[in-house]
Amino acid sequence: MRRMPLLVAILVFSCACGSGSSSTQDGAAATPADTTDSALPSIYTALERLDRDARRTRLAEMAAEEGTSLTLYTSMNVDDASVVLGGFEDLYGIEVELYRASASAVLQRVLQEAQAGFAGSDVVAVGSAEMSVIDENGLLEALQSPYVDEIVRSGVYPNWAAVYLNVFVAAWNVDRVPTDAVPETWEQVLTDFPDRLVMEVSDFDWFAALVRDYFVAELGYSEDQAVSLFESAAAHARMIEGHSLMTELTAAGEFDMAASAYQHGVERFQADGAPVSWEPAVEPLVIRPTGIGIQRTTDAPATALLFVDYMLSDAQPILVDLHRTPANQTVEGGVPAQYDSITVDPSIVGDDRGKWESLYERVVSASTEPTG
Amino acid sequence: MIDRAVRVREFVRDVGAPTSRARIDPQRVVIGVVVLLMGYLVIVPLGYLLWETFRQGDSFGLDGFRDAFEVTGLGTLTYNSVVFATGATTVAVVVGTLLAYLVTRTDMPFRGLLFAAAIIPVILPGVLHTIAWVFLASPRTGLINLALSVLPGDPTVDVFSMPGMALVEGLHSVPLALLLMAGAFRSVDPATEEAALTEGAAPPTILWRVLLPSVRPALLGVLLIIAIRSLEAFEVPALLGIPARRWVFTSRIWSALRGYPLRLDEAGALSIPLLLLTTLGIVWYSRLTRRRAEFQTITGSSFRANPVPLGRWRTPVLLVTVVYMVVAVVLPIAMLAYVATQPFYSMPSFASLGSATLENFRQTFSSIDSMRAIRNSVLLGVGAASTVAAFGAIASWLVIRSRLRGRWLVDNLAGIPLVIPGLVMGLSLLIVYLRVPVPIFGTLWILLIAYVTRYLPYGMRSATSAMLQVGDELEEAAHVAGATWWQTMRLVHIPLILPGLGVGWIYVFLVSIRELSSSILLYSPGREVLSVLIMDQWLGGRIPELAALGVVMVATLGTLTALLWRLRARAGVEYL
Repeated sequence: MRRMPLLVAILVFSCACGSGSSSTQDGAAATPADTTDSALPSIYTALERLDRDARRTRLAEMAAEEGTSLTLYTSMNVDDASVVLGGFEDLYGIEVELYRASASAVLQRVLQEAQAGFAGSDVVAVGSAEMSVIDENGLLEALQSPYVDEIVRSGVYPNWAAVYLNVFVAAWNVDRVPTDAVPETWEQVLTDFPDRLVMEVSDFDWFAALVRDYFVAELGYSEDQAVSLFESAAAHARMIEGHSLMTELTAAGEFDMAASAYQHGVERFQADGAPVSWEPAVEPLVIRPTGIGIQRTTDAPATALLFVDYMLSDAQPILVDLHRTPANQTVEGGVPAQYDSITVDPSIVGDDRGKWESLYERVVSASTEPTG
Repeated sequence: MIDRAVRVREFVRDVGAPTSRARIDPQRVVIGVVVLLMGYLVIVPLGYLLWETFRQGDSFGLDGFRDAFEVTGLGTLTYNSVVFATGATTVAVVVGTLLAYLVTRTDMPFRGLLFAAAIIPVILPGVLHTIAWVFLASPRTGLINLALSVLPGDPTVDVFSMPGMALVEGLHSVPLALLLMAGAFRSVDPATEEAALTEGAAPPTILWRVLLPSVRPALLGVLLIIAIRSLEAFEVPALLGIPARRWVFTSRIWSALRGYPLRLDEAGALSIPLLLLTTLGIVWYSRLTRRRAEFQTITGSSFRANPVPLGRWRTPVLLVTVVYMVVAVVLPIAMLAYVATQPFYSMPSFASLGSATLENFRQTFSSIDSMRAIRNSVLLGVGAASTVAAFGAIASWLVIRSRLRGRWLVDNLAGIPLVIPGLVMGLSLLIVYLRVPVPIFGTLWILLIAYVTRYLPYGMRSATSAMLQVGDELEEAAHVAGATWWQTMRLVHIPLILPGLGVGWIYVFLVSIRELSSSILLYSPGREVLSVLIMDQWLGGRIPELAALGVVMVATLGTLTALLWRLRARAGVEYL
């Protein structure tokens, strides 16, 4: 025990060093990394008044001068991303380095890198919830692209724009759920499949959109009633992290019903012959844009802008081929417009985010079964 | 031994006796450097963690604790963590000890083969082992459940439950328990056992009454190591516990680090009870084994005992052991191999066997991500194992051989990482390098620092064990012959403990390659390691690809370990 004081002294010393060196940083939120004056505004100036073709040619020249490859952080699955990025590489001969992780992991990565002053990526493309946070932290450049005018209105922000729409659907294993048991409403999804339902641990925005804009606004539930409907469903459901994993395990027969699968993921498995389906659809579908933006720390701004232009234009038909729903309204395809849908409201991922996140955390964490 | 001493003396005379005493005592410099480095590695991250936990803006407070236990209370988390760790430890120690007894002390047939087979899971990273068990024992599609469904009453094994979690974690720790207990059993003088045998005692009685009491300190040590490993386990709580909403401290820490804003204070608050639990374990252990000599019971001389005849139990025991091997070793690897051949994850059937393909293997070998992860893992494994061995050699010399003041500090510092869970170590280093302007965030160095710190106790342990087997007389002879401290270190000390260090090297290399819980918080794009890539593929629903990568990894590591093991055997070291 007489050795303890020395250990304590070292501990105190290291704590003291800690507080001294961190006066400008806050653990809860990232601060923008030190950035040199960005070249992007001058690039925008240089591109002014050029038509689309001329802009593309000029940007490609500027990108060639930068001579670097591009790093993209995204939550898009690797298979789809490699097809989309392959298209860019074929067009411009510029290699794209890809970091793929779940949207929350990408968000943490971007915030931590900003805090550590580490310039990891040039472009980031994740869900609107995460894009909003990255933007709030001042980590994105202003985005000026002629293609932004063609993007769905709910997906346009000053510093980022939607590149495609993720469509949340209820999906089921067709071998396990006979046609006459296929749910028609969200209430049935949440109540008819105890012990056979799977939910995703981080889908607070899907949950919030359904509670607020469907159960409360359309069906007249009180918010408490709607939340407790989800709570009772979760108490008898499995929780999974990742939509692709959720769909794959549903296709394999581990679960009968996936509460919030991605429509494009389900269709990809269907195309491979897996016994999974989302149609006839449980309405309303919940739509959440996935956005794209340029990081302030980029050292290849022209290349980054060329890539964003590409994603908002040439990549859109490729996304349709991958069963995704394009954000560019001039491109046809994706989820048929006849379905009722709700788009995740910006306030859900903005001002009210804390409320919905903690409510959903309560839903997914609470256990009604005996501990142990 | 004397011959060696004479040779050393002659050698030292040949190279010339030291001419003058150095003005600065190199021993003091070395101890100073080692203490500073260890302090930096071990204490600084913990200091930052504590500071971050209690910091609220510009002042200090307990908000982190309030938020941390708001959804799942401290009582529930402690209860779940303790139940999980107790279950896993019981499975690992009971199975490991029984297997160790059977392969070291009885006449069970195929002992060598079964021993080798039983330790195979040691090369499986936890994340892969856990996923393999999802394939085997998920309630609806697990292979074992498909087999059980032909039985009346529809019995089901559910891997997504507390007993399932404890079983999977326990099975993953069996090889470690087996290795350590086999070492302990081999070092017991067979005289008492043979006497009991002559008296007509049955094998179970001999194990219970004679062997176990004589290896009690080693058994307690194994219990402690495995209990701590289970408390700090991350893969099973994340992959099996979260789906079933069976939260333990580690899965809660993981969850706190996934949201926005990054809840470092909450993660810190969740780490503290975990650190207290693991520290309690160490305190309990050192109280039970007060005499230091007892720590070394699992090393020391080896005896070749006459095997205890199992008699009429020989065949049934062999059968049970083989069934265990099939379920715990063969099936998980076979399922990985099967899934690796599928276009998408589905249960074995005639149709699925017909659609088998090698496409996933082709993708693995042509994937930049996989190849880069393999390279990063090997680099880090070699780097961590070598650094830890070097540290271990110097630090253990300071503690055991030197008479320097302050050597207790080295011993204490080297032991501290044992109680720091990997996730907490990752979190602490993340806090340090997000704040300290040292440019290692985003590089492999931050991972190397995590691995070296975490595995320091193992390096220290293997070097200490090796050193205890070497008598003092050789160093004394060198000293008498006039060798300097450095000459003694280089020419006598290090060569003699090298085989022991080699065993530690292999172990640290293996555990580094399997490491996930620190890496998952510290890696950056392009610096993924194998287990991180496998975890990411799982979360991304790329199950067949991860299975193919897993098979490649198991085959490579298996071959590598077998080669290293042979080298180790040649070097004359019998066991860890």
